[in-house]
Amino acid sequence: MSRLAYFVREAWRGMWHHRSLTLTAIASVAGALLTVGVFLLFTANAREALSSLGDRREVVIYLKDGVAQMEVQALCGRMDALYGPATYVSKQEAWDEFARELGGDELLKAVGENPLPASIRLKLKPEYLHFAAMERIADTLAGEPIVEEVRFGGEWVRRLDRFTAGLATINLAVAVAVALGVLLVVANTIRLTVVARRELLRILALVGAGPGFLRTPLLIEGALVATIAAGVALGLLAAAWAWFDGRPFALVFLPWRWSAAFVGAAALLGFAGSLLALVTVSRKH
Amino acid sequence: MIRLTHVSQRYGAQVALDDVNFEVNAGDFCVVLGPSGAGKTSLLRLLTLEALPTSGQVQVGSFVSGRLGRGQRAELRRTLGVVFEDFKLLEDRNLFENVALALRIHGVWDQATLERRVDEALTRVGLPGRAHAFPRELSAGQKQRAGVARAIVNRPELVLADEPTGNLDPAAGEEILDLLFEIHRAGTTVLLATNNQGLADHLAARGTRRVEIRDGALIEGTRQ
Repeated sequence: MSRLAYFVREAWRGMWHHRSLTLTAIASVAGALLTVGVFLLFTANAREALSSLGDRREVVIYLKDGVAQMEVQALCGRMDALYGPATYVSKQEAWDEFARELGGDELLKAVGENPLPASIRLKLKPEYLHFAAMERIADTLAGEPIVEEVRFGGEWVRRLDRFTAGLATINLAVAVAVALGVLLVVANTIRLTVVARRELLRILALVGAGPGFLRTPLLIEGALVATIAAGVALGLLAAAWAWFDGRPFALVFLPWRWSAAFVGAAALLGFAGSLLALVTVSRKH
Repeated sequence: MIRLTHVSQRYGAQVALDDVNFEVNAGDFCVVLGPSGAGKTSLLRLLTLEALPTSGQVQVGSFVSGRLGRGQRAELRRTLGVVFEDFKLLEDRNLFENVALALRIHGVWDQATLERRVDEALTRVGLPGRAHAFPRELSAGQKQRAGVARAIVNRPELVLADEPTGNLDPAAGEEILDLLFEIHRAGTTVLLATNNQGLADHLAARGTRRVEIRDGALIEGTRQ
């Protein structure tokens, strides 16, 4: 049996020996992690909704009348290279589109001459889909000699940005609070475990076990408790998602990368919680 | 092998050892006799560096108290074999796991080596083929044999035995003493602590060195 397998077995043996303590710790940590999971699920669904809205975030550059086609193509080329795909919409195309939206061109015939300007619709690269970047790009493009006006729905974009930032802040705050909670729960569990196993640890120390031999199973135990708790929290979250999905909205579950990071972060927190406990407790050995 | 230089050990106002100077040479079989509370346990705790002396210096092999961190204290204990009065076997593990524990602590992880060395140790203490037995399935004498197997599996140069026959009937106790003599004959230094005057006399008759511990002082000599 390898060293790692031995320590994992010892950790498992310790957990099994103190089943009620372990189960209490798993339940407490799973409860705390479930709170984070709910926020992550909300975030995942909000991001999904925002990304479909984000697809519609574009900058419209209205051009002056009578601009040479070569100049338009040059500007489109620059925008393509710098900011994202640019599509030219001629005066006629704008007119046709408007007519389609109105459901007929009878009214438009009364107007006489086509009053709509030609434009370029710029779909920005994802890194520019926030207010500050869009405003900067709009200002730059407004300075072009062939451009009449630039619009990008600034207030709407600003609100969307604020909402996204607020969500990230709430997630961070919840994650930090829960991380502290998990650390304390695991640390206290390991402290109790050490107290419960005083005699075993004393025997091991008398037989010559060094700090590493004594601590490793306890560190693994903390990580295992948190990992199992994360699995339980994910399971509960999946069950809740399956129940709420389609009632009335279709929901997405956490992307697998998020789920893996969730479990990995929990394992690290469990490890850190054990370390926190052992820094003080194992000095006695 | 062991040298105590002006060692005192106090617990508050209580003096467990008072300015003790004491040496055990390699190859000795030394019996420390003293009533309960006389300081035997304090002495053994100092020798395993479970406790540090209030003053003075304890030297075991090449390890000297006062300059050792936790890692080095563990290293010292790995050079010793310790036999306890209450065996201190891990009840939820079979004899193989109990004895292999000492080897693993020494860094032996190869399964074939573990099996061979544990088998050798159990055979040496008269428990061949009992590797899969759990402590609860053994008599007190057999448990102590297993304790001795764990103490000697790493072939230590020094074995400390704290009342090794205290929980045993006379026949089982005699078997354990025979085992300790056999280990001693093979070249291992043995220090045995007991509060049993009859046992100390019996051991002295078999040629061991005797030291009495009384009121925190060590007194060399045999008393018949």
